[in-house]
Amino acid sequence: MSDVPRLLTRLARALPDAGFARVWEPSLDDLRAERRSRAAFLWRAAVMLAECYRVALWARLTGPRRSRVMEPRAEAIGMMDTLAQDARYAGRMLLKNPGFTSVAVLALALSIGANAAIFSLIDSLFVRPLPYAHADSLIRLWGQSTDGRQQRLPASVPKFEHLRRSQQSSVALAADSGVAVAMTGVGDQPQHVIASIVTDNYFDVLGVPPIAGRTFLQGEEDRAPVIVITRRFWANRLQSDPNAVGRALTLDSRPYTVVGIVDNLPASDVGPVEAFLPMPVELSGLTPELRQRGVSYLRVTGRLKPGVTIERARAEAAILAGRYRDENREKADSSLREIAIGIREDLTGNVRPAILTLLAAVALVLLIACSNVANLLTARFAGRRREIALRAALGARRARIVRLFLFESLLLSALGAIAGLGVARLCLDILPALGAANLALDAEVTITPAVLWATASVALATGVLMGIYPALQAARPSASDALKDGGRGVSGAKAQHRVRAVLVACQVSLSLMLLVGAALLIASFVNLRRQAPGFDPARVLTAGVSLPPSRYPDATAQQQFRQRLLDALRVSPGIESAALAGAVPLTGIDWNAPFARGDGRIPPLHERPLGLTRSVSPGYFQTMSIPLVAGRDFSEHDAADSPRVIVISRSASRKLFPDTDAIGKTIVTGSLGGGTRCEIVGIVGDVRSVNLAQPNDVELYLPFTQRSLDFAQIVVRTAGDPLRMLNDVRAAVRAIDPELPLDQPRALVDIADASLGQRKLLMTLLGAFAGLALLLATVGIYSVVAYLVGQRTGEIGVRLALGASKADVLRLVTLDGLRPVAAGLAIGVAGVAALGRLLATQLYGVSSLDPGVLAAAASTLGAVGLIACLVPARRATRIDPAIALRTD
Amino acid sequence: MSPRALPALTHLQFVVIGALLADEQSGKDVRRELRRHGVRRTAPAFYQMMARLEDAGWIDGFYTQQVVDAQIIKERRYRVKPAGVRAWTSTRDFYAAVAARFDRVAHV
Repeated sequence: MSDVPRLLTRLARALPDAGFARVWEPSLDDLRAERRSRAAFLWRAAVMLAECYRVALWARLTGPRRSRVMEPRAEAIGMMDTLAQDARYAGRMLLKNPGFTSVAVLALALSIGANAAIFSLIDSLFVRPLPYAHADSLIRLWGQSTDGRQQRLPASVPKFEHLRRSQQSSVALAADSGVAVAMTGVGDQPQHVIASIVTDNYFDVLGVPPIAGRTFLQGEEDRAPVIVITRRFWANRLQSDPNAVGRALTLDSRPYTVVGIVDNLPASDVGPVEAFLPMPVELSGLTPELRQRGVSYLRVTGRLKPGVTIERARAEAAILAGRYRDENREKADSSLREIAIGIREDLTGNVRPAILTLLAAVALVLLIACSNVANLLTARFAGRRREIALRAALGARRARIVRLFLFESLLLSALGAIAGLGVARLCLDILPALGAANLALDAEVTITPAVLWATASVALATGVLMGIYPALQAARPSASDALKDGGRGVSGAKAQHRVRAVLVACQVSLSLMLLVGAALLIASFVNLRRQAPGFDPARVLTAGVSLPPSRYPDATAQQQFRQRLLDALRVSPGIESAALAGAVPLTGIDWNAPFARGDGRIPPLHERPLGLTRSVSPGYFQTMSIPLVAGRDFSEHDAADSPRVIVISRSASRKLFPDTDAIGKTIVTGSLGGGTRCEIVGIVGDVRSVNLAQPNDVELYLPFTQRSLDFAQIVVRTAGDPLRMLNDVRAAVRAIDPELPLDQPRALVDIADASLGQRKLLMTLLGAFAGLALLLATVGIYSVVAYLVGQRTGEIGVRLALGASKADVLRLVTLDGLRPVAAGLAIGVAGVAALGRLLATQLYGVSSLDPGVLAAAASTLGAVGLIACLVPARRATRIDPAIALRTD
Repeated sequence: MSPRALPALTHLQFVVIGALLADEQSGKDVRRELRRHGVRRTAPAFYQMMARLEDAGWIDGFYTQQVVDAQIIKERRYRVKPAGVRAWTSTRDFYAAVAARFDRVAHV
């Protein structure tokens, strides 16, 4: 076995011009002859390898000129040895001052660690490759309403077929749509499974190969009883059965055969989907006529042809949408625009502002830490002027001295980076608890090699940035001055003091920006929490239930189930009221339908705007505590064969019928037969259904009894803790159909909280960074003032001796210390204006230049600065003039 | 002597080839010889220089192997080539002629 690590040998083999045989091996032989310890041998071998590359480079640069061949210039000991010596010296100096080193390393660890944590988030969200082949060429096609209010709308079957037929930009288009199915026959209880119905080319378009078995074959789109499962499904539900491929499963009472297993797809892309079924065209509960009318539920994915840009795909999508509109004016989705976006942007677009804000915040924290440590280093190096002067007198060049001090700075940043990785790991461990689920992170966010490289680069830049000025400054003073007065000369001290004051001002201004940013986000969050959603989420339990078409083939069967369930829930002790809805607010599940006033000129379908539409049972408004403003709620008399009725929101009423009472008027909604005419029987209060920050201008409610839907969300208001009633709700469902599982039972309060998860995460993180910045700024201000007191001991002693009072000294020192703080606050206000633009989209109910917030943050910083000045200032008042004068 | 006929060898190369004139030497021994003349070079810098002398065609480098205590010991050795001897001789003659000229002038 070789005594040299394989890595070194491999690197040595890459030496040019037969360097391995002619330079490396004989050098290694000489090294072996020196008989060093194993550790020393390995270290020397590594240094020697670097030297081999250096001399090889020199040889290449000078070229083989026969007449005058130049040897590579080398120091007596060798450049690498010198560097090693400087590094060892830097380490000794840091060890000699554990207090300074601890403070500096801690400041750097916290700031570099914060940066590393954000880098990890960025890596997970934006950099880590998606598990799709050539993901850069994947695009999503989404619908958008003409007024831009509704974005990312799925496609209907006719539109998908139109796009698939007509488009030229993509190799192929695929479609998918989420469904909930009940799986029976596995385990004791029926299981709720989130699946996706897909076109047979779905996995081919995405570039996802199977890890076992196969994916779908061409032609299996149409009702083939086959299923592809994910690795997660295989592990959690089938206990990694080695015979899973070929196994029979029952979903919604239909038999399926597992034909393949694929790796888990990103949750940011497919959500909790665990299984794929090849039936894109039929969505249970939708009649063929409704499907052809343009009910939209398909997500469309395409793979661009080689050489085709996304701009071209966008242009083509716009043209195709126009053609679709012209050819299908009677369809519900004919008015929609079509946009194409890259898949990465599709998955991360809504988190970019938050991540950019966090990145800016950690960069500010790092700058504050850098200026803090730079201040400390300046003071430290200034105290070693005698040592520097001695070195210079003995012949050390300025470059060597600068390098010496720069090494200390680099070593500090390296130690800070290593400790910072531990801080980053800790931050990432607690990220899920802070609501990282709202960032759609897949698997665990880890520190990858890319993150390590980025952190190392940051550490290197930090080391140079914070060390270069102190090092240059320290290497400057004249030897004679420093040697004569024992190193207490003040040559250059004023310039140094100015620089340190500038650094303090920088820290204060950056801290103010962070404090204001955090305060604004906190204020926004509080405003949002206080924002009335239009309903009362307290003591409400929700759970989904899907009705398989095999047992509930039509609206009658579905309605019978719903009625029996409501009757059972309403008599259950502990349940105050019960209702059903197509979806509850703030879950992200929203349906839109075209609508228009039913009187006067009714615009053609493609000209009608889209309105949020919700199917509900009688008692929904009471259960959700949505106030009934006028008219009535739905009742059991609003049956399938009764005249069509509708309840609208107050905003819809004001918008559509501003001058009259809307009760008794009609609205045309949907697309079936050009739209269904419904009589307005009730007006209810506005509900913030999509997100708390955004009111809906139109929300329409239709009775379940007059619709055919195979999915319903159970909504019950309980007397006590809603989750305690879960078993009762489950029992009520099972009493009617034992094979029906509940889907995602949750308290409505948790749903409302989760809708604010991303904001909460941002607020918490920014608050933590602002707190850190405040701490660093405090330490920075204190260190500068304390240093100043130390430098001016003699002067203060003279003042006291000449009759100055302690109050005078206190005022002198404090005002001197507060000047850069005041300057920093003034600069910070300008910075806040710039920061405001970055934060503007994330604020709610508060302006980015809110004077109250600005004043509070500035006052906090000012107060902290004052305290940081007062402590050393008080110490200055206790100086004994006699001692001070003798020392000077 | 033509003023354009500057010696082809540098001072270090002169010492190195001089050390090889009598007999082939190992790289270690040549380094030791250099140290006697006050010249210290790291092993890579030294062996790179020797590689360049090989490329110039003045010396030959080769490996020898010995078995000592059942272990194979490799050693890089060098021998001067005729072209190297010629280069060394012309350099020696050059400096001798220059020294003689300045001796006459300076009466040293």
